[in-house]
Amino acid sequence: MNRSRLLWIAAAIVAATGLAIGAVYLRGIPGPTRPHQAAGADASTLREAFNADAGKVRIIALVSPTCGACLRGASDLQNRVFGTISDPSLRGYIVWVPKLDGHENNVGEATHTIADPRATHYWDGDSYLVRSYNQILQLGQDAWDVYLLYGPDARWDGPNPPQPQYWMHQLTGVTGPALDANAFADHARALLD
Amino acid sequence: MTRQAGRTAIASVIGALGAAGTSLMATLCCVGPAAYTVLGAGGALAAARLQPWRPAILAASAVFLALGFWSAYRRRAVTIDGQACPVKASRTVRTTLWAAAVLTVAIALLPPVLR
Repeated sequence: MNRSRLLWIAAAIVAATGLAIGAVYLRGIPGPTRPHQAAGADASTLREAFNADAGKVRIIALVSPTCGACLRGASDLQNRVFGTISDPSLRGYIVWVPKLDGHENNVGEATHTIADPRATHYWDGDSYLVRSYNQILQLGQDAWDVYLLYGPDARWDGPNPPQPQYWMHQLTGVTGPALDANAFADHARALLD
Repeated sequence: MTRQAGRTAIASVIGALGAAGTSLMATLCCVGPAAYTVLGAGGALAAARLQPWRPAILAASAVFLALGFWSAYRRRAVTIDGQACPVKASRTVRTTLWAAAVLTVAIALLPPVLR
């Protein structure tokens, strides 16, 4: 087999791989659509749910439904956190925020990334939590693509959410650990023990 | 000789463009709403998953292009009636190779994340 034929075969493999990736992924994110609800004025609905789950380990994720990295982060949360921790005392609040031109009508398909029944989806159309967590985490920029972990004793008593016990992100220009879903799961397990 | 060199070069171009296209997809994962509009939710997620592989994909593009340029530009001597006649790949093949190289370099220089 000469070099030219080898290169044609290699090129065909590359092209076929690209087409396969396109065919599989461009049809949309597989999975069921989960219901979502508005986070409420000043995130009041989310605050009530958060406090109602006192005694449980809670995860809040601020993610955009139109951001590839956010969708990847949410998917990693499903696969490596919820998928590896079966403890019913784990709760998730997936807050979809209007960054990168995200709209509420994008949320439906985005919820395909996290189907675990312990997770509830919200839409923060007013970006209330985007601004709140900017101050709480001292990011110096809007807070999104951030993943926050709260222990069983955490309570949300004021207008702003409490300081998380641990958090990770996928932002640029921000100090703090970059999202590693396996490490995040380890921290969650430590709080559940 | 020229035809074989041209075929080799074209195969390299296709491979390089395929690899560069995949790298472009990985680059576009987070550039903004246009990426979501073009790729859709599934495509944006796939692009984000490809992002860590971007250096390897770009390296594959470089290898394909290097093979293509080497094949297109190396001179082969054809002997006709006892006289040597150097030949090389056609201008079309070489132009295509350069266009693929420029495109690949442009993709490589795109910031990996633009928000």
